[in-house]
Amino acid sequence: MRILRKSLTIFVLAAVIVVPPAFADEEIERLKSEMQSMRETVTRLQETIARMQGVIEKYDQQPKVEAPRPAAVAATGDVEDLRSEVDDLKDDIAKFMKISGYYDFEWLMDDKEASPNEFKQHHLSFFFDKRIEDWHFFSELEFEYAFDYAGTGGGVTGGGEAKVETTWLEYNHGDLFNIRGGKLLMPQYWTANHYPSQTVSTSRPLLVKNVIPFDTTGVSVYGTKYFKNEWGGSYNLFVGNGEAADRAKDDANEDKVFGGKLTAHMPFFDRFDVAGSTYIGSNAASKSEWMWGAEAQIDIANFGLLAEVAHNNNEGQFGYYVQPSYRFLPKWTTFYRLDTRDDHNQIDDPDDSTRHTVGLRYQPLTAISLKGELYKDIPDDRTRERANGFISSVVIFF
Amino acid sequence: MDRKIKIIVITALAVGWFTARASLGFTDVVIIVNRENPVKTVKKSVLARYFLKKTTRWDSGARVVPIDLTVSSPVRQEFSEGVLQKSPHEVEEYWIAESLTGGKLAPEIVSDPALVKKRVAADAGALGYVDKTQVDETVKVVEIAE
Repeated sequence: MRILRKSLTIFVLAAVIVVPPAFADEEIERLKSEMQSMRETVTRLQETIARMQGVIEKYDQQPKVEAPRPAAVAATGDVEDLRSEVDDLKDDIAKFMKISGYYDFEWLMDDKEASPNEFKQHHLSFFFDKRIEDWHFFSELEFEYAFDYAGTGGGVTGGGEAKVETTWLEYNHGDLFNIRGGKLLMPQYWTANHYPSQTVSTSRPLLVKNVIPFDTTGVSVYGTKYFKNEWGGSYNLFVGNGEAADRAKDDANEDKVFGGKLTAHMPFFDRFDVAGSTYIGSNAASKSEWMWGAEAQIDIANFGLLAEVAHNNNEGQFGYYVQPSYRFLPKWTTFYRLDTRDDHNQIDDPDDSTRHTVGLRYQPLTAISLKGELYKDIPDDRTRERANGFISSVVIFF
Repeated sequence: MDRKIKIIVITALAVGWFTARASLGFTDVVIIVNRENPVKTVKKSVLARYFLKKTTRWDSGARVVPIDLTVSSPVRQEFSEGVLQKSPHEVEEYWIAESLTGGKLAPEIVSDPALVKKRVAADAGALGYVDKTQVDETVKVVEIAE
Protein backbone atom coordinates (compact mmCIF):
# COMPACT_ATOMS: atom_id res chain seq x y z
CA MET A 1 0.00 0.00 0.00
CA ARG A 2 2.83 2.46 0.86
CA ILE A 3 4.67 1.53 -2.33
CA LEU A 4 1.45 2.05 -4.26
CA ARG A 5 0.91 5.44 -2.66
CA LYS A 6 4.51 6.51 -3.41
CA SER A 7 4.20 5.32 -6.99
CA LEU A 8 0.92 7.20 -7.40
CA THR A 9 2.46 10.36 -5.93
CA ILE A 10 5.43 10.15 -8.31
CA PHE A 11 3.05 9.57 -11.20
CA VAL A 12 0.94 12.62 -10.31
CA LEU A 13 4.05 14.82 -9.93
CA ALA A 14 5.32 13.66 -13.31
CA ALA A 15 1.97 14.39 -14.93
CA VAL A 16 1.61 17.85 -13.36
CA ILE A 17 5.18 19.15 -13.53
CA VAL A 18 6.71 17.63 -16.66
CA VAL A 19 4.89 19.37 -19.53
CA PRO A 20 6.58 18.79 -22.89
CA PRO A 21 7.95 22.19 -23.93
CA ALA A 22 7.14 21.50 -27.59
CA PHE A 23 3.39 21.71 -26.85
CA ALA A 24 3.51 24.78 -24.56
CA ASP A 25 3.69 27.41 -27.33
CA GLU A 26 0.93 25.80 -29.39
CA GLU A 27 -1.27 25.65 -26.28
CA ILE A 28 -0.65 29.35 -25.53
CA GLU A 29 -1.59 30.33 -29.07
CA ARG A 30 -4.74 28.22 -28.95
CA LEU A 31 -5.76 29.77 -25.63
CA LYS A 32 -5.10 33.28 -26.99
CA SER A 33 -7.33 32.51 -29.96
CA GLU A 34 -10.11 31.19 -27.65
CA MET A 35 -9.84 34.29 -25.43
CA GLN A 36 -10.09 36.58 -28.49
CA SER A 37 -13.20 34.68 -29.61
CA MET A 38 -14.71 35.03 -26.13
CA ARG A 39 -13.97 38.80 -26.11
CA GLU A 40 -15.76 39.18 -29.44
CA THR A 41 -18.78 37.25 -28.13
CA VAL A 42 -18.94 39.38 -24.97
CA THR A 43 -18.81 42.55 -27.12
CA ARG A 44 -21.72 41.30 -29.24
CA LEU A 45 -23.63 40.43 -26.07
CA GLN A 46 -23.11 43.94 -24.72
CA GLU A 47 -24.31 45.46 -28.01
CA THR A 48 -27.41 43.25 -27.97
CA ILE A 49 -28.21 44.22 -24.38
CA ALA A 50 -27.90 47.90 -25.34
CA ARG A 51 -30.32 47.37 -28.23
CA MET A 52 -32.75 45.53 -25.92
CA GLN A 53 -32.65 48.47 -23.52
CA GLY A 54 -33.43 50.79 -26.43
CA VAL A 55 -36.41 48.67 -27.48
CA ILE A 56 -37.72 48.52 -23.92
CA GLU A 57 -37.51 52.32 -23.62
CA LYS A 58 -39.28 52.66 -26.96
CA TYR A 59 -42.17 50.44 -25.78
CA ASP A 60 -42.38 52.28 -22.46
CA GLN A 61 -42.87 55.55 -24.33
CA GLN A 62 -45.67 54.15 -26.50
CA PRO A 63 -49.35 54.73 -25.47
CA LYS A 64 -50.64 51.82 -23.37
CA VAL A 65 -52.91 49.32 -25.17
CA GLU A 66 -56.33 49.18 -23.46
CA ALA A 67 -57.53 45.74 -24.57
CA PRO A 68 -55.41 42.75 -23.50
CA ARG A 69 -53.60 41.09 -26.40
CA PRO A 70 -54.24 37.39 -27.03
CA ALA A 71 -51.13 35.22 -26.52
CA ALA A 72 -51.00 34.11 -30.13
CA VAL A 73 -50.27 37.60 -31.52
CA ALA A 74 -46.93 37.58 -33.37
CA ALA A 75 -44.10 39.57 -31.80
CA THR A 76 -42.90 42.75 -33.51
CA GLY A 77 -39.93 42.64 -35.85
CA ASP A 78 -37.58 44.24 -33.28
CA VAL A 79 -38.31 41.59 -30.64
CA GLU A 80 -38.01 38.76 -33.21
CA ASP A 81 -34.64 40.11 -34.35
CA LEU A 82 -33.42 40.34 -30.78
CA ARG A 83 -34.53 36.80 -30.02
CA SER A 84 -32.73 35.58 -33.11
CA GLU A 85 -29.54 37.42 -32.07
CA VAL A 86 -29.68 35.99 -28.56
CA ASP A 87 -30.09 32.49 -30.02
CA ASP A 88 -27.10 33.04 -32.31
CA LEU A 89 -25.07 34.14 -29.31
CA LYS A 90 -26.14 31.03 -27.42
CA ASP A 91 -24.89 28.95 -30.37
CA ASP A 92 -21.54 30.79 -30.22
CA ILE A 93 -21.23 30.25 -26.47
CA ALA A 94 -22.07 26.57 -26.90
CA LYS A 95 -18.99 26.19 -29.12
CA PHE A 96 -16.65 26.94 -26.21
CA MET A 97 -15.37 24.10 -24.08
CA LYS A 98 -17.88 23.33 -21.36
CA ILE A 99 -16.41 23.38 -17.87
CA SER A 100 -18.39 22.01 -14.96
CA GLY A 101 -17.59 20.30 -11.69
CA TYR A 102 -18.61 19.32 -8.24
CA TYR A 103 -17.47 19.91 -4.68
CA ASP A 104 -18.28 18.05 -1.50
CA PHE A 105 -17.54 18.59 2.16
CA GLU A 106 -18.12 15.94 4.83
CA TRP A 107 -18.50 15.40 8.56
CA LEU A 108 -17.82 11.93 9.98
CA MET A 109 -18.22 10.51 13.44
CA ASP A 110 -18.17 7.00 14.87
CA ASP A 111 -17.98 5.19 18.18
CA LYS A 112 -14.69 3.39 17.61
CA GLU A 113 -11.90 3.97 20.08
CA ALA A 114 -9.07 6.32 19.02
CA SER A 115 -11.18 7.48 16.06
CA PRO A 116 -11.70 11.24 16.20
CA ASN A 117 -14.73 12.86 14.63
CA GLU A 118 -13.56 14.84 11.64
CA PHE A 119 -14.36 17.17 8.80
CA LYS A 120 -13.21 16.18 5.32
CA GLN A 121 -12.80 18.53 2.42
CA HIS A 122 -13.15 15.53 0.17
CA HIS A 123 -13.62 16.26 -3.53
CA LEU A 124 -13.08 19.17 -5.83
CA SER A 125 -13.45 18.01 -9.41
CA PHE A 126 -13.50 19.77 -12.75
CA PHE A 127 -14.97 18.35 -15.94
CA PHE A 128 -13.89 19.51 -19.38
CA ASP A 129 -16.21 18.68 -22.25
CA LYS A 130 -15.73 19.68 -25.86
CA ARG A 131 -17.65 18.47 -28.90
CA ILE A 132 -16.73 19.04 -32.52
CA GLU A 133 -19.18 17.44 -34.95
CA ASP A 134 -19.20 13.71 -34.01
CA TRP A 135 -16.01 13.92 -31.94
CA HIS A 136 -16.22 14.29 -28.20
CA PHE A 137 -13.45 15.01 -25.68
CA PHE A 138 -14.09 14.60 -21.94
CA SER A 139 -11.85 14.78 -18.91
CA GLU A 140 -12.17 14.88 -15.14
CA LEU A 141 -9.44 16.48 -13.05
CA GLU A 142 -9.93 15.62 -9.39
CA PHE A 143 -8.40 17.08 -6.24
CA GLU A 144 -9.03 15.21 -3.00
CA TYR A 145 -8.51 16.37 0.56
CA ALA A 146 -7.18 19.83 -0.35
CA PHE A 147 -4.17 18.64 -2.29
CA ASP A 148 -1.11 20.66 -1.37
CA TYR A 149 2.15 20.63 -3.29
CA ALA A 150 5.10 22.59 -1.97
CA GLY A 151 7.37 23.48 -4.87
CA THR A 152 11.05 24.46 -4.97
CA GLY A 153 12.06 20.83 -5.23
CA GLY A 154 10.42 19.87 -1.94
CA GLY A 155 8.11 16.94 -1.32
CA VAL A 156 4.33 16.82 -1.38
CA THR A 157 2.73 17.92 1.88
CA GLY A 158 -0.71 17.20 3.24
CA GLY A 159 -2.73 14.07 2.67
CA GLY A 160 -4.27 15.24 -0.56
CA GLU A 161 -4.37 13.75 -3.99
CA ALA A 162 -4.54 15.19 -7.47
CA LYS A 163 -5.32 13.02 -10.43
CA VAL A 164 -6.80 12.77 -13.85
CA GLU A 165 -9.70 10.52 -12.87
CA THR A 166 -10.73 9.91 -16.46
CA THR A 167 -9.88 11.42 -19.82
CA TRP A 168 -10.84 10.26 -23.28
CA LEU A 169 -11.64 11.13 -26.84
CA GLU A 170 -14.45 9.35 -28.65
CA TYR A 171 -16.09 9.20 -32.04
CA ASN A 172 -19.90 8.99 -32.00
CA HIS A 173 -20.91 7.09 -35.10
CA GLY A 174 -24.46 6.57 -33.87
CA ASP A 175 -26.53 4.95 -31.15
CA LEU A 176 -25.23 1.50 -32.06
CA PHE A 177 -21.51 2.21 -32.33
CA ASN A 178 -19.16 4.61 -30.58
CA ILE A 179 -15.42 4.19 -30.03
CA ARG A 180 -13.52 5.76 -27.16
CA GLY A 181 -9.83 5.84 -26.20
CA GLY A 182 -8.12 7.07 -23.06
CA LYS A 183 -8.22 6.47 -19.33
CA LEU A 184 -11.56 4.73 -18.98
CA LEU A 185 -13.67 4.02 -15.92
CA MET A 186 -14.99 0.49 -15.70
CA PRO A 187 -18.60 0.28 -16.93
CA GLN A 188 -20.06 -1.31 -13.77
CA TYR A 189 -22.87 0.85 -12.35
CA TRP A 190 -21.35 2.42 -9.21
CA THR A 191 -17.92 2.88 -10.79
CA ALA A 192 -19.40 4.74 -13.76
CA ASN A 193 -21.90 6.71 -11.65
CA HIS A 194 -20.01 7.25 -8.37
CA TYR A 195 -20.26 11.03 -8.32
CA PRO A 196 -21.63 12.62 -5.11
CA SER A 197 -24.05 14.75 -7.14
CA GLN A 198 -25.62 11.51 -8.44
CA THR A 199 -25.56 9.16 -5.47
CA VAL A 200 -28.03 9.32 -2.58
CA SER A 201 -25.35 8.30 -0.10
CA THR A 202 -22.03 9.84 0.89
CA SER A 203 -20.27 6.52 1.45
CA ARG A 204 -19.72 4.04 -1.35
CA PRO A 205 -20.46 0.32 -1.28
CA LEU A 206 -17.68 -1.87 0.10
CA LEU A 207 -17.11 -3.70 -3.16
CA VAL A 208 -16.30 -0.60 -5.21
CA LYS A 209 -12.54 -0.21 -5.83
CA ASN A 210 -11.97 -3.43 -3.88
CA VAL A 211 -13.64 -6.24 -5.82
CA ILE A 212 -14.28 -4.38 -9.07
CA PRO A 213 -11.22 -2.78 -10.75
CA PHE A 214 -11.73 0.95 -11.16
CA ASP A 215 -10.23 1.86 -14.51
CA THR A 216 -7.98 0.94 -17.37
CA THR A 217 -6.19 2.85 -20.10
CA GLY A 218 -7.19 1.55 -23.48
CA VAL A 219 -10.02 1.52 -25.98
CA SER A 220 -13.69 0.77 -25.63
CA VAL A 221 -16.63 0.44 -28.00
CA TYR A 222 -20.19 0.87 -26.87
CA GLY A 223 -23.71 1.28 -28.17
CA THR A 224 -27.41 0.80 -27.57
CA LYS A 225 -30.24 -0.60 -29.66
CA TYR A 226 -33.98 -0.54 -28.94
CA PHE A 227 -36.38 -2.83 -30.78
CA LYS A 228 -39.99 -2.37 -31.88
CA ASN A 229 -41.24 -4.39 -28.91
CA GLU A 230 -39.57 -1.82 -26.59
CA TRP A 231 -36.88 -4.22 -25.44
CA GLY A 232 -33.38 -2.87 -25.75
CA GLY A 233 -29.78 -3.83 -25.23
CA SER A 234 -26.50 -2.01 -24.55
CA TYR A 235 -22.95 -3.18 -24.79
CA ASN A 236 -19.62 -1.81 -23.62
CA LEU A 237 -16.45 -3.73 -24.52
CA PHE A 238 -12.93 -2.66 -23.64
CA VAL A 239 -9.30 -3.64 -23.93
CA GLY A 240 -6.56 -1.93 -21.96
CA ASN A 241 -3.56 -2.04 -19.64
CA GLY A 242 -3.84 -4.24 -16.56
CA GLU A 243 -4.07 -3.00 -13.00
CA ALA A 244 -0.82 -1.27 -11.99
CA ALA A 245 0.20 2.06 -10.52
CA ASP A 246 1.42 3.41 -13.88
CA ARG A 247 -1.31 1.83 -16.03
CA ALA A 248 -1.98 5.14 -17.81
CA LYS A 249 1.66 5.19 -18.97
CA ASP A 250 2.57 1.57 -19.65
CA ASP A 251 1.58 -2.01 -19.04
CA ALA A 252 3.46 -4.19 -16.56
CA ASN A 253 3.39 -7.17 -18.95
CA GLU A 254 2.38 -8.27 -22.43
CA ASP A 255 -1.07 -9.32 -21.26
CA LYS A 256 -3.91 -6.89 -21.80
CA VAL A 257 -7.17 -6.81 -19.88
CA PHE A 258 -10.37 -7.47 -21.75
CA GLY A 259 -13.90 -7.15 -20.60
CA GLY A 260 -17.22 -5.54 -20.91
CA LYS A 261 -20.78 -5.22 -19.82
CA LEU A 262 -23.98 -6.29 -21.54
CA THR A 263 -27.25 -4.73 -20.40
CA ALA A 264 -30.82 -5.73 -21.15
CA HIS A 265 -33.36 -2.87 -21.03
CA MET A 266 -36.73 -4.46 -20.33
CA PRO A 267 -40.04 -2.64 -20.88
CA PHE A 268 -41.33 -3.11 -17.34
CA PHE A 269 -42.17 -0.30 -14.92
CA ASP A 270 -40.32 3.00 -15.42
CA ARG A 271 -36.97 1.23 -15.73
CA PHE A 272 -35.85 -2.38 -15.54
CA ASP A 273 -32.24 -2.94 -16.50
CA VAL A 274 -30.17 -6.01 -15.72
CA ALA A 275 -26.56 -6.45 -16.73
CA GLY A 276 -23.65 -8.84 -16.57
CA SER A 277 -19.99 -7.87 -16.76
CA THR A 278 -16.53 -9.33 -16.78
CA TYR A 279 -12.87 -8.30 -16.54
CA ILE A 280 -10.08 -10.69 -17.58
CA GLY A 281 -6.36 -10.05 -17.58
CA SER A 282 -3.14 -9.92 -15.60
CA ASN A 283 -2.30 -7.43 -12.89
CA ALA A 284 1.06 -5.79 -12.14
CA ALA A 285 2.30 -8.95 -10.41
CA SER A 286 1.53 -10.83 -13.66
CA LYS A 287 -1.09 -12.71 -11.73
CA SER A 288 -4.20 -13.72 -13.60
CA GLU A 289 -7.18 -11.63 -12.59
CA TRP A 290 -10.71 -12.50 -13.53
CA MET A 291 -13.80 -10.69 -12.30
CA TRP A 292 -17.45 -11.34 -13.03
CA GLY A 293 -20.30 -9.11 -11.96
CA ALA A 294 -24.04 -8.59 -12.26
CA GLU A 295 -26.25 -5.62 -11.55
CA ALA A 296 -29.84 -4.45 -11.65
CA GLN A 297 -31.51 -1.06 -11.72
CA ILE A 298 -35.26 -0.87 -11.27
CA ASP A 299 -37.43 2.25 -10.99
CA ILE A 300 -41.13 2.08 -10.15
CA ALA A 301 -42.67 5.53 -9.71
CA ASN A 302 -40.78 7.01 -6.71
CA PHE A 303 -39.17 3.72 -5.66
CA GLY A 304 -35.72 2.79 -6.89
CA LEU A 305 -33.66 -0.36 -6.46
CA LEU A 306 -29.95 -0.71 -7.16
CA ALA A 307 -28.04 -3.94 -6.71
CA GLU A 308 -24.59 -5.17 -7.72
CA VAL A 309 -22.63 -8.32 -7.04
CA ALA A 310 -19.08 -9.15 -8.09
CA HIS A 311 -16.44 -11.79 -7.57
CA ASN A 312 -12.74 -11.38 -8.28
CA ASN A 313 -10.42 -14.38 -8.23
CA ASN A 314 -7.58 -12.11 -7.08
CA GLU A 315 -7.46 -13.21 -3.42
CA GLY A 316 -11.00 -14.55 -3.78
CA GLN A 317 -12.76 -11.23 -3.24
CA PHE A 318 -16.54 -11.16 -3.26
CA GLY A 319 -19.00 -8.39 -2.58
CA TYR A 320 -22.53 -7.20 -3.16
CA TYR A 321 -24.92 -4.45 -2.22
CA VAL A 322 -28.65 -3.96 -2.38
CA GLN A 323 -29.97 -0.41 -2.11
CA PRO A 324 -33.68 0.41 -2.19
CA SER A 325 -34.56 4.11 -2.14
CA TYR A 326 -37.76 6.12 -2.00
CA ARG A 327 -38.37 9.72 -3.04
CA PHE A 328 -41.15 10.57 -0.58
CA LEU A 329 -41.25 14.27 -1.45
CA PRO A 330 -39.97 15.98 -4.61
CA LYS A 331 -36.76 17.07 -2.87
CA TRP A 332 -36.39 14.30 -0.29
CA THR A 333 -35.10 10.76 -0.82
CA THR A 334 -34.50 8.10 1.78
CA PHE A 335 -32.50 4.90 1.29
CA TYR A 336 -31.24 1.77 2.95
CA ARG A 337 -28.21 -0.18 1.83
CA LEU A 338 -27.02 -3.62 2.79
CA ASP A 339 -23.54 -4.31 1.53
CA THR A 340 -20.87 -6.81 2.22
CA ARG A 341 -17.32 -7.55 1.23
CA ASP A 342 -15.57 -10.84 1.72
CA ASP A 343 -11.90 -10.63 0.84
CA HIS A 344 -10.70 -14.17 1.28
CA ASN A 345 -13.77 -16.33 1.64
CA GLN A 346 -12.49 -17.13 5.11
CA ILE A 347 -14.74 -16.20 7.94
CA ASP A 348 -11.97 -14.88 10.17
CA ASP A 349 -10.42 -12.49 7.63
CA PRO A 350 -10.09 -9.00 9.20
CA ASP A 351 -11.35 -7.23 6.06
CA ASP A 352 -14.62 -9.14 5.84
CA SER A 353 -17.54 -7.06 6.96
CA THR A 354 -21.19 -6.35 6.42
CA ARG A 355 -22.58 -2.85 6.64
CA HIS A 356 -26.11 -1.56 7.14
CA THR A 357 -26.63 2.05 6.09
CA VAL A 358 -29.76 4.15 6.27
CA GLY A 359 -29.89 7.76 5.17
CA LEU A 360 -31.63 10.80 3.79
CA ARG A 361 -30.87 13.19 0.96
CA TYR A 362 -32.40 16.65 0.67
CA GLN A 363 -32.03 18.68 -2.51
CA PRO A 364 -33.08 22.30 -1.97
CA LEU A 365 -32.01 22.83 -5.59
CA THR A 366 -31.27 20.14 -8.15
CA ALA A 367 -27.56 20.98 -8.08
CA ILE A 368 -27.29 20.95 -4.28
CA SER A 369 -27.49 17.84 -2.09
CA LEU A 370 -27.47 17.62 1.69
CA LYS A 371 -26.95 14.07 2.87
CA GLY A 372 -26.88 12.25 6.17
CA GLU A 373 -26.54 8.55 6.92
CA LEU A 374 -26.14 6.21 9.86
CA TYR A 375 -24.23 2.98 9.44
CA LYS A 376 -23.47 -0.13 11.39
CA ASP A 377 -20.43 -2.25 10.50
CA ILE A 378 -20.50 -5.89 11.49
CA PRO A 379 -17.15 -7.61 10.92
CA ASP A 380 -17.15 -11.36 10.31
CA ASP A 381 -14.29 -11.61 12.76
CA ARG A 382 -16.16 -11.34 16.06
CA THR A 383 -13.04 -10.28 17.93
CA ARG A 384 -12.87 -7.07 15.90
CA GLU A 385 -14.54 -3.94 17.17
CA ARG A 386 -17.97 -3.20 15.72
CA ALA A 387 -18.48 0.32 14.54
CA ASN A 388 -21.49 2.56 14.42
CA GLY A 389 -21.16 5.89 12.73
CA PHE A 390 -22.72 8.90 11.13
CA ILE A 391 -21.62 10.54 7.88
CA SER A 392 -22.97 13.76 6.43
CA SER A 393 -22.05 15.82 3.43
CA VAL A 394 -23.01 18.80 1.33
CA VAL A 395 -22.47 18.64 -2.42
CA ILE A 396 -22.74 21.18 -5.18
CA PHE A 397 -22.66 20.57 -8.92
CA PHE A 398 -21.63 23.62 -10.94
CA MET B 1 -61.04 -8.56 10.02
CA ASP B 2 -59.53 -5.18 10.89
CA ARG B 3 -56.12 -6.44 9.81
CA LYS B 4 -57.50 -7.67 6.49
CA ILE B 5 -59.17 -4.32 5.86
CA LYS B 6 -55.93 -2.51 6.60
CA ILE B 7 -54.03 -4.74 4.18
CA ILE B 8 -56.63 -4.16 1.46
CA VAL B 9 -56.61 -0.40 1.96
CA ILE B 10 -52.83 -0.17 1.96
CA THR B 11 -52.58 -2.36 -1.13
CA ALA B 12 -55.22 -0.31 -2.93
CA LEU B 13 -53.45 2.93 -2.05
CA ALA B 14 -50.13 1.52 -3.20
CA VAL B 15 -51.58 0.28 -6.50
CA GLY B 16 -53.35 3.57 -7.04
CA TRP B 17 -50.22 5.52 -6.27
CA PHE B 18 -48.03 3.40 -8.55
CA THR B 19 -50.46 3.72 -11.42
CA ALA B 20 -51.18 7.40 -10.89
CA ARG B 21 -48.21 8.51 -12.93
CA ALA B 22 -48.91 5.96 -15.65
CA SER B 23 -52.45 7.21 -16.10
CA LEU B 24 -51.45 10.84 -16.65
CA GLY B 25 -52.18 11.68 -20.22
CA PHE B 26 -51.89 14.72 -22.37
CA THR B 27 -54.63 17.26 -22.34
CA ASP B 28 -53.44 20.42 -24.07
CA VAL B 29 -49.89 19.61 -25.15
CA VAL B 30 -49.10 18.48 -28.70
CA ILE B 31 -45.90 17.18 -30.25
CA ILE B 32 -44.63 19.01 -33.32
CA VAL B 33 -42.06 18.11 -35.97
CA ASN B 34 -40.76 19.70 -39.14
CA ARG B 35 -43.22 19.56 -42.04
CA GLU B 36 -40.73 17.49 -44.06
CA ASN B 37 -40.51 14.81 -41.37
CA PRO B 38 -42.45 11.75 -42.64
CA VAL B 39 -43.31 10.59 -39.10
CA LYS B 40 -47.05 10.68 -38.30
CA THR B 41 -47.21 8.75 -35.02
CA VAL B 42 -44.68 8.31 -32.22
CA LYS B 43 -44.93 5.94 -29.30
CA LYS B 44 -44.76 7.63 -25.92
CA SER B 45 -41.78 5.48 -24.88
CA VAL B 46 -39.91 6.36 -28.08
CA LEU B 47 -40.69 10.06 -27.54
CA ALA B 48 -39.19 9.79 -24.07
CA ARG B 49 -36.05 8.21 -25.49
CA TYR B 50 -35.73 11.04 -28.02
CA PHE B 51 -35.96 13.73 -25.34
CA LEU B 52 -33.59 11.92 -22.97
CA LYS B 53 -31.29 11.25 -25.94
CA LYS B 54 -31.24 7.52 -25.36
CA THR B 55 -32.13 7.30 -29.04
CA THR B 56 -30.56 10.01 -31.17
CA ARG B 57 -31.73 9.15 -34.70
CA TRP B 58 -35.06 8.99 -36.44
CA ASP B 59 -35.84 5.75 -38.30
CA SER B 60 -34.67 7.58 -41.42
CA GLY B 61 -31.20 7.98 -39.86
CA ALA B 62 -31.50 11.75 -39.48
CA ARG B 63 -30.40 13.16 -36.14
CA VAL B 64 -33.20 13.91 -33.65
CA VAL B 65 -32.98 17.47 -32.32
CA PRO B 66 -35.30 17.82 -29.30
CA ILE B 67 -36.23 21.31 -28.13
CA ASP B 68 -37.32 21.85 -24.52
CA LEU B 69 -39.18 24.67 -22.85
CA THR B 70 -37.94 26.21 -19.59
CA VAL B 71 -38.46 24.28 -16.35
CA SER B 72 -41.00 26.81 -15.09
CA SER B 73 -43.30 26.36 -18.10
CA PRO B 74 -46.59 24.56 -17.24
CA VAL B 75 -46.43 22.98 -20.72
CA ARG B 76 -42.99 21.57 -19.84
CA GLN B 77 -44.39 20.29 -16.54
CA GLU B 78 -47.20 18.43 -18.30
CA PHE B 79 -44.86 17.03 -20.95
CA SER B 80 -42.30 15.88 -18.36
CA GLU B 81 -44.85 14.11 -16.18
CA GLY B 82 -46.89 12.70 -19.03
CA VAL B 83 -44.18 11.52 -21.43
CA LEU B 84 -40.87 11.32 -19.58
CA GLN B 85 -42.56 10.00 -16.41
CA LYS B 86 -40.30 12.34 -14.47
CA SER B 87 -40.79 15.75 -12.89
CA PRO B 88 -38.73 18.58 -14.42
CA HIS B 89 -36.56 18.36 -11.25
CA GLU B 90 -35.85 14.70 -11.95
CA VAL B 91 -35.08 15.50 -15.59
CA GLU B 92 -32.55 18.10 -14.41
CA GLU B 93 -30.98 15.41 -12.21
CA TYR B 94 -30.77 13.16 -15.26
CA TRP B 95 -28.89 15.80 -17.25
CA ILE B 96 -26.53 16.49 -14.34
CA ALA B 97 -25.72 12.77 -14.32
CA GLU B 98 -25.06 12.89 -18.08
CA SER B 99 -22.72 15.87 -17.54
CA LEU B 100 -20.80 14.01 -14.85
CA THR B 101 -20.33 10.87 -16.92
CA GLY B 102 -19.49 12.44 -20.27
CA GLY B 103 -22.89 11.56 -21.69
CA LYS B 104 -25.21 13.45 -23.96
CA LEU B 105 -25.83 17.20 -23.85
CA ALA B 106 -29.22 18.36 -22.62
CA PRO B 107 -31.65 19.53 -25.31
CA GLU B 108 -31.70 23.19 -26.17
CA ILE B 109 -34.04 25.09 -23.87
CA VAL B 110 -36.04 28.01 -25.19
CA SER B 111 -38.29 30.32 -23.25
CA ASP B 112 -41.00 30.93 -25.80
CA PRO B 113 -43.26 28.49 -27.68
CA ALA B 114 -42.87 30.69 -30.75
CA LEU B 115 -39.16 29.88 -30.69
CA VAL B 116 -39.93 26.17 -30.38
CA LYS B 117 -41.97 26.41 -33.59
CA LYS B 118 -39.27 28.47 -35.28
CA ARG B 119 -36.60 25.93 -34.40
CA VAL B 120 -38.76 22.99 -35.47
CA ALA B 121 -39.71 24.69 -38.75
CA ALA B 122 -36.04 25.38 -39.53
CA ASP B 123 -34.57 21.93 -38.78
CA ALA B 124 -35.76 18.74 -40.50
CA GLY B 125 -34.84 16.61 -37.46
CA ALA B 126 -36.22 18.91 -34.78
CA LEU B 127 -38.86 17.80 -32.30
CA GLY B 128 -40.74 19.95 -29.83
CA TYR B 129 -43.95 20.37 -27.84
CA VAL B 130 -46.32 23.30 -27.46
CA ASP B 131 -49.80 24.07 -26.23
CA LYS B 132 -52.30 22.97 -28.88
CA THR B 133 -53.60 26.54 -29.26
CA GLN B 134 -50.19 27.63 -30.52
CA VAL B 135 -49.95 25.26 -33.48
CA ASP B 136 -49.84 26.88 -36.92
CA GLU B 137 -49.06 25.91 -40.50
CA THR B 138 -45.28 26.19 -40.04
CA VAL B 139 -45.07 22.86 -38.17
CA LYS B 140 -46.69 19.44 -38.24
CA VAL B 141 -48.41 17.74 -35.30
CA VAL B 142 -47.70 14.05 -34.70
CA GLU B 143 -49.94 11.70 -32.78
CA ILE B 144 -48.76 10.01 -29.64
CA ALA B 145 -49.34 6.26 -29.38
CA GLU B 146 -49.24 4.44 -26.05
